[in-house]
Amino acid sequence: MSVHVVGVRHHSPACARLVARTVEAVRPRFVLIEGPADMNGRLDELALGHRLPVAIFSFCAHGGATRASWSPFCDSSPEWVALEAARRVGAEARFMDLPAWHEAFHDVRNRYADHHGPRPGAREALAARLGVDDPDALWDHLFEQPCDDLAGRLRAYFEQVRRDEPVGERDRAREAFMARCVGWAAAQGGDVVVVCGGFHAPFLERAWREAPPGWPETPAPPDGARVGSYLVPYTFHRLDSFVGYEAGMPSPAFYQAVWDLGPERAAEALLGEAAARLRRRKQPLSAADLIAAWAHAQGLRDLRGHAVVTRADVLDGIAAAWVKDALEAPLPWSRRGPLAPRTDPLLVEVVAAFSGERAGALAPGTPRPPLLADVEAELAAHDLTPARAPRRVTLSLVERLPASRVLHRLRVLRVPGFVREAGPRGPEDGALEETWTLVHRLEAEAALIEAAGHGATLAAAATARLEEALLAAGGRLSPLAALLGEAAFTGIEALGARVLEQVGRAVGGEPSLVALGDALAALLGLWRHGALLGAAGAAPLARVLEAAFERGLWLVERVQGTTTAADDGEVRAVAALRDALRQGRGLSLDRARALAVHGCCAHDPGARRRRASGAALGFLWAAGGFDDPAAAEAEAVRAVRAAALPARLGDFLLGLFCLAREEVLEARGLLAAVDEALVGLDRRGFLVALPALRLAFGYFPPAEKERLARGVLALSGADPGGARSLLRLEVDADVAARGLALEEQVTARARRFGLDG
Amino acid sequence: MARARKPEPVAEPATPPAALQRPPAEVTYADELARLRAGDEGPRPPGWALTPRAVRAFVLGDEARGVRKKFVGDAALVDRAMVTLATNRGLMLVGEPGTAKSLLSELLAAAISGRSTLTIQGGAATTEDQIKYSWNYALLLAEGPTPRALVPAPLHTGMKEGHLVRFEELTRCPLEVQDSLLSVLSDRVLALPELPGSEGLLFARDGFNVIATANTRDRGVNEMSAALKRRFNFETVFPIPDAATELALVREEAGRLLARSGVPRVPPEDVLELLVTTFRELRAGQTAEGQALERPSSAMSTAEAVSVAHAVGVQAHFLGRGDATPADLVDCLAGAAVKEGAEDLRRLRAYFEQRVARMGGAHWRAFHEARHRLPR
Repeated sequence: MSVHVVGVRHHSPACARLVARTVEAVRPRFVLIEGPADMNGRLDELALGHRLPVAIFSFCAHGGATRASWSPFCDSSPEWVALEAARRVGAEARFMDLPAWHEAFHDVRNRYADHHGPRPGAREALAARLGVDDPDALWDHLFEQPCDDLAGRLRAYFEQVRRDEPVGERDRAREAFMARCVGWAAAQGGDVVVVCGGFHAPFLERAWREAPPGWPETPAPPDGARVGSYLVPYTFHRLDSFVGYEAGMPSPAFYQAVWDLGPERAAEALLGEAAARLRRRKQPLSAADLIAAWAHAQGLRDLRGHAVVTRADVLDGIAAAWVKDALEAPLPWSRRGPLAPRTDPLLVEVVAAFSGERAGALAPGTPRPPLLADVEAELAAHDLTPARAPRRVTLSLVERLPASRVLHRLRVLRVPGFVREAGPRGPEDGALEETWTLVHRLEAEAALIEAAGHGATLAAAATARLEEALLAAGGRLSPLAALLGEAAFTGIEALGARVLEQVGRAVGGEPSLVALGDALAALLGLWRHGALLGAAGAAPLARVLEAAFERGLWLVERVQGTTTAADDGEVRAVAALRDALRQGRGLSLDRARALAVHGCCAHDPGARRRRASGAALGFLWAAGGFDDPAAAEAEAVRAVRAAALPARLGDFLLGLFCLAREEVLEARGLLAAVDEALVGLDRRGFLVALPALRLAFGYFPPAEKERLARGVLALSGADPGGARSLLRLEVDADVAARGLALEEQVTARARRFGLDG
Repeated sequence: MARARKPEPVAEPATPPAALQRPPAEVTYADELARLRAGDEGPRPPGWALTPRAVRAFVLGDEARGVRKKFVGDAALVDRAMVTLATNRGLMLVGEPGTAKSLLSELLAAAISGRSTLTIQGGAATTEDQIKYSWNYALLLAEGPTPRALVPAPLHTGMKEGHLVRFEELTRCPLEVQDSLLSVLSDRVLALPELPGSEGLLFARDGFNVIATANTRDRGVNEMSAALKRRFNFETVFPIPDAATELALVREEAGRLLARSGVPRVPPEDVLELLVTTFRELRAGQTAEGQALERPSSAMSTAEAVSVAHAVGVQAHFLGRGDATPADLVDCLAGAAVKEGAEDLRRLRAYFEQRVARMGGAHWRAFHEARHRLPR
C-alpha cells in the first residue's frame, strides 16, 4: 500500500501528463482528485463523452443572494485526465474537496484558480536568478518544457511555495477534509494516487496519516439554502477571463495546442493561428513577418535556455517583429488582469488568438440544468409562456413590474423569442408601459443551456451575464450608465450597487463635461424616481451623485467651449449641476464651492466661454447665489450689455435662458436690456446672432414666449394683445432668415449704387 | 562561433575618469565589464564581446557578481532587444522622453561591443556626412579619393570594425537622411562610389547593428517611412510603473549627482515624496485615486525628477539653510513642468489648487502654502 501525491497547477498540460503517467504506472485502487465531493455520486455524468471545455457549475441560493462557482475542465486539466486515467486502469475515482457551498469557497468563483504561487519577494529573487519576471513565464520556464524529473522539480517548487506563503483559514478547512479522504483511501488497502493543487501537496503527503478515520461526511449547506451542482458547457474565452485572484493559466488555446501537438509544436501552431486571425482582420502580414517573428522567438528560446519555444518566447517574438509603433500600454502578457486601455489592437488580436474560441458542448443525455425549469416556472407564474404563434403583451410597469423584470432578464441572457417593442428608454423615462412580442423558438433551449453556466435561476444567470458586461465596460462612463439602466430594468439591486461603485470611480476621471452632465442627469433621475433601484442603492447613489457633482465643478472650471453651435451639451451639464443642487435633498453637496466656481466662470471674459459664462450666471441666479432678485437682475443686465456683440449675444443668452428660465421671465429690466441689445444690432449683426438666438429662445415653451412678447410690446408702448400674432410665423423660420439675408444684400447693393433713400 | 574579440581600446582619457563630467559606460563600469568577461563561457553571437546572459547581467544587475542594476525595466524587454541585435534588424527604442532609452542603448553598446561612443545624434541639421563618411579635403585635392582621404563617421566605423552604432533621436532627422540607412540595414553594405574597385563597397563585419532611439513626444515614429520601419524591431520603453522603485531611483541618482556637485546630503524623504508623487501624477494625467488631471506638455520623466531633486539639493545647500524644504521644491518645479508658457503654468497652478490643497500631511500643506513662489 502506498500513497502517491501529485501536486499540480490546474490546467497545466505538463502536470496533466505527469498525472496520466503516474496513474498508469501505479495502477492504484483509488484516485482522489481535488473537486467538489458532493458530485461523487454523479461522476458518471462526467464520462458521457462531452466536448471540452465543460465545467461543474455549483450554486448556493441563500438569504436572497445566489453564489455561483465553477470548476472548469479542459483537455489538459490534470483533474480531468486523472478521471479518465482512473477509468482506463479500473481505479475508483473520487473528488475529495469541500462542496462549493462551504465557507471555504465563499466568494470563490473559479475553483481551479491559481490561489497560490511564489510570493512577490520570492518571485523577484527567482526572476533575478532566472531572468524571468512574470509568474506565468516563470511557470513555463520551469515546467512546461520537456525536462528530466518533472515530479521532483514540481515537488521542490511547491515545497518552497508552501514555506513562503501563509496558510489561510480556508486552506486549513479544505486540507483537513482532503487529508481525511486520503487517510480513508489508504486504510482500504491498495495504492492511492492523489491529485491536488501543488500548494496542498506537501501538507497532504504528511498529514493523511494523522487524519481521523473514515470518509468525511460532506458538510451540509446552510439552513434554508438551495444548492446544486451540474455540468454546463464552457468556453476558452471564459476560462481566460477570470482576473486577479481568480485567474488560472492564461491562453487556453496555446496550452490546448501543447496538449494536442506537444510542447515542441504548439508555439509554431499558435503563431500561425495569430497570423491567420490578423489576416482575417485585413492586417497585412507577409511571410517575411512570420519568419521574423519565428526567428526572434527561437532566438529568445536559445537565449533563455529553453528546450522549446514557450508561450512568452513566441509572444515576445511577435511583439518584437510585428509591432511597428510606440506602444501606449505595456505588453498584455507582461502583467495579469484585463487588457489595459489603449492596448495596441494588433496585440489585442494576438492575445485573442492565444485565448482561442473553442466552446464546449455537453453530450446528449446530460441532466438538464435547473435554469430551464426555473425559467419555465417564472414564465408560467406570470402568464408569459410563449406559444408557436407570436403573442403581443403589454405590461404596466406599476402593476406588473415583476413580469417585466422576468422578460428583461431573458433579454439580457439573449434568449431568442422575447422582443421588446416599446417602453421607457431608461429608468428616468416617464413611460409606464412596455410592449413585448413573445414567441416559442427552438433555439431558446440551447441558449438557456448555455446561459445555465451563468446561474441556476433566471435572476442569478442574468446577474452573472450583466457582471460580465460590467467587466467589459472597463470603467467607462457611458457603458456604465447603460448598465445602470439594465440593473434597474432587471431589478437586480446587488448589481446596481456594484455598477454605481464603478460609476463613482469613473466620474472621478471623466474628462468630458458633456458626458459627465449626461451621467449626472441620469443619476439624478434615478435618485428622484427612487424605488427603481431599491432602497439598498440609495446610500451609494448619494455618494456617486456627490462625486459626480464634485467632478462637474472641476470640469466647469476648465470648460473651453469646445462643443459646436448646435450642441448645448455643456450648458445641459451646468443645468444638471443646478438640478442636483435643487433636487438633491439629502445629498451633501458643497453649495458654497459651486457658487464660487460659477461666480468665477460667469466673470470670465474669455470669448470662447461666452456660452458657459451665460450658463454660469444663470446657475448663480437659479441657485440663489445673489442676495436678492434685484441684485441678480442688475448683474444679468450688466452682463447682457457686455455681451451685446453679434457673435456673443446668442450664445450668452442660450446659457442664461437654459439655466434660469423661470427667473428671467420675472425680470422686466433684463427683458428691456435684451431688447435694447437686439435693437442695437445692425441687420448683418442680427443675422450672425440669429442661429444661437433661436436656440436660446427655444428653451421657453409657447406660453412663456407669449408672455415675453407681451413684455416686449409693453416696452414699446404697443398693445400687448397682439403678442400671439408675433409668435406665429407665416413661413418657416429658415425661410424668414434667408429672406432677411437677401434683403440685406439688396440694401447693400442699392447703397453701392447710391439708390438708398 | 567567433572568439571574443578584445574590445577596442577606448581612447584613453587624458584626465582620470573621476574628473570627466560624464565618462561613457564602458569607462564608468570598466571593472564590472572585466568581471563579467572573466569566466563568461557559453555561446555568443558572432562579433559580441559578451554572452547575452552576461549582457543581461550587466544591464539588469547581478548581486552575486557585484554588478549594479543600471536599468529599471523588465528582463523580457532586454531579452528581446538582445535577440533583435543578434539578427539582421535594427533595434528601435521608443518611448516618452526621459524613460532611459539612451541609457539602455549605451549600456547595450558598451556590453555587446565594448564601446558605446559610436553615436550619431539625430537632429534637423543631421546630414549623411555625419552618419556615413566625409572627406579630408586637403588630402582629397592632393591624392584624389583614396581610403586615406576618407574621414569615417560612426556608421562607417561600426560596419568596418563590427560594432554597434547608436543613432539617437533618429526621427528628428529629415526623412531622406533617415532613409539613407535602408541599404545599410537590409544589405549590410555601404557603397563608397568615390573609391575605385573593391574598396567601393564596405561590407559590415559581424557585430555591427544599429540601436536607434526616438521619443514619442516630438514627431514620434509616425513619419518614418514604412520601408525603414520594416528594418527595425520596435521596443517601447515605459516609465517606471511602481512609485517606490521610482522614489528609490530618484533618491539614488540625485545623491550621486549631488555628491559630484559637492553637496553632502540628499533632500529629505518627504520632499522627495512630494517630488515623485507630483511628477507621477502629472505624467499620468491622473491622481493615484484615478481623478483625471490636465497633463503639462512636459514629459515629467524620471530623468527630470532626478534633475529637479539635484537642483533642489543644490539650492538648499548653497542658498538656503541646508535641508531642502517644500518651498525649494516649488522654486525648482516650475522650470521642469512649465515648458510651454502660460498654459503649462495654469495646469501646474490647477494641480496645486485642486490636488495639493487636499492632501493630508504637514509636508503637503507646506508645499501648498509655498505655491505663491510659482512664477506669475
